[in-house]
Amino acid sequence: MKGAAEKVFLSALVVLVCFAGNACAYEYQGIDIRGFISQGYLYSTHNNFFAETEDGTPQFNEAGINFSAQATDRLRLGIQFLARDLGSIGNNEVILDWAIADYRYRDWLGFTVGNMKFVHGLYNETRDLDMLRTFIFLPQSVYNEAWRESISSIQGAGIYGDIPLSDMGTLSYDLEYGTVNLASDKGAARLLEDQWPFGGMGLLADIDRIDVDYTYAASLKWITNLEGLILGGSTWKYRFDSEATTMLDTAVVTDEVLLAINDPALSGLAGPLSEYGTRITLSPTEIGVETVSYTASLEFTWRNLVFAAEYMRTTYDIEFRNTPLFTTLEPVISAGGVTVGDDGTIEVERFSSVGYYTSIAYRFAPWFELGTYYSIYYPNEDDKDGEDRVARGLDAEDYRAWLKDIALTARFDVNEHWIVKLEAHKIDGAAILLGADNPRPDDVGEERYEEDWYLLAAKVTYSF
Amino acid sequence: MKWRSIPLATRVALACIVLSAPGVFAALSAHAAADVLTVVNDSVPEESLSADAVQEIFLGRKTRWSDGQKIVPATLKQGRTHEDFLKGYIRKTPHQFRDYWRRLVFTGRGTAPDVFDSPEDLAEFVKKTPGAIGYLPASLYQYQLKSLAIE
Repeated sequence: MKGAAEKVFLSALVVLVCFAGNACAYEYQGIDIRGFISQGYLYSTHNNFFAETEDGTPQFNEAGINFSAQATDRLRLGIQFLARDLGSIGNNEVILDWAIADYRYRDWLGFTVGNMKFVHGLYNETRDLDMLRTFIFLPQSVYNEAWRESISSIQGAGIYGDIPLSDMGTLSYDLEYGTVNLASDKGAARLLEDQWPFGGMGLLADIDRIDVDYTYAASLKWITNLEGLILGGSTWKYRFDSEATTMLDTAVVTDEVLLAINDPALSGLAGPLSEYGTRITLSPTEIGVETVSYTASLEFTWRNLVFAAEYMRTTYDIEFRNTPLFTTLEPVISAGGVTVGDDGTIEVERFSSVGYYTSIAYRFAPWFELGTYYSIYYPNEDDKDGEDRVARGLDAEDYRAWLKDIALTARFDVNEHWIVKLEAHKIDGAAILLGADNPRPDDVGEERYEEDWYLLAAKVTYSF
Repeated sequence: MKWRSIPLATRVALACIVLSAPGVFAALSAHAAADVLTVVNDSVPEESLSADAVQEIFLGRKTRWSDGQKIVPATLKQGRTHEDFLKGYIRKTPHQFRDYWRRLVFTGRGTAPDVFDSPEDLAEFVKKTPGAIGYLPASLYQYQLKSLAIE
């Protein structure tokens, strides 16, 4: 069924691309049809960036098609299907990107229900749309690829509007509430498994299932009367529970540990005891995650120049729940410096990531644009030099604690429909890279990640 | 080079240039827009609009006339009149305007204005479509359609 859906999707897209000619969009009985298809190539000198980029990879593409119609004077209906691939993310599975019913009661108040694009920062809603931006990759400090699917769309309801402020400009707002379908083998789940700092507590997780309790997103944009200046603020919050197979590694074998692992309650869960200690498998463990993010944004457009700057801070509260086993294993866990609460839960110390960037792009001619940005990201703002990360055994390399990225992009608009982009990144650090894409090297002593590396990207996009 | 290391006079001059740029741009833009006529369908009750209102309409942020009638904006695809109108009232280049609407369309947030290849086609559309608003070369269409004074 899934294969059939993909065939229909791709066939429709190919037919429309072939017959679109110079048309901006198709219209069929009042239904506007638009779409895009892009293909890219990635190469990195070191480190795999969400795909096997060290070898060079064409597993980097997007395709989308949308249908929209004005059903009544105030009611608009629309739907978009999307397929994308970036290494193991997406794999060209056709997904419902958005599908909405939008009732605009007044200019200052509209209602939306369905699967809406997730508001975050200046560019999150358009991050799948290569033709709408200068860069191939948005700055990872604010638009982390690993989070992309988690904050792509939100299923629920929202209100929005534009409030005129007379001589002060216009205030645009969006409020969205609902839930998100998260896959257990993608984006946020993979981050949860190998990026977040409970690894330093001797706890490892293999996510089997994720259920999002709720999420909300809100955005406020002040379109000032100083022409081209937009100031914005946005926030989102996630609350999700995941079911995981948790591994508790204990390197220090004390009498308490021996007593605990010989407890009948742990029969069959503890691995063989060796000189390195033992691994105890706890399944299922419930992991509760609450994430809150705030972003401040500024964009200034003057003629052909666009300057943007954004700052984002995300706070994580994580809790492990496996009440009977955690209580039994309390001596083992506490030997690793971790406290088991009276209710049998383990709370990971709250931490926050921060990221910020500035970008500038200038269109020299209708067919040519150059852009550059500098982006900095710290997964834990209290450990910017990575010392704590290494001391806790979370990573061998301290530069997993940051990602500093200088990007330079050339965009060529061949015509209204075809765009070619070339982009180079000089990167210091290895934060956001996933362990699954960068396996441990066989040779002992060889580093898993490289600190200084380059990422090169090329992309061709057709849109109508 | 640090900002403080630049001589004070140079810093003041640079600040003046940056701060005055939007005003200079606006003055130039207004001149460009003088050759463009903003036209509406006869059903539209307004006789005049502020420049800000014109901008809000063509960016999809103002969608109703004063009598509650839906506003139906129409644009030209390209050409001097199109560029002058965008520069004078919308404060965007043709490329920025096109991408602005693409952004709304591809994220489910709006329906793009109708686009016409020629002023003749646009004039015909405005003439027969209730609530329509568009723009035309002033020299050619001064007395053929209802035009709005832009304040």
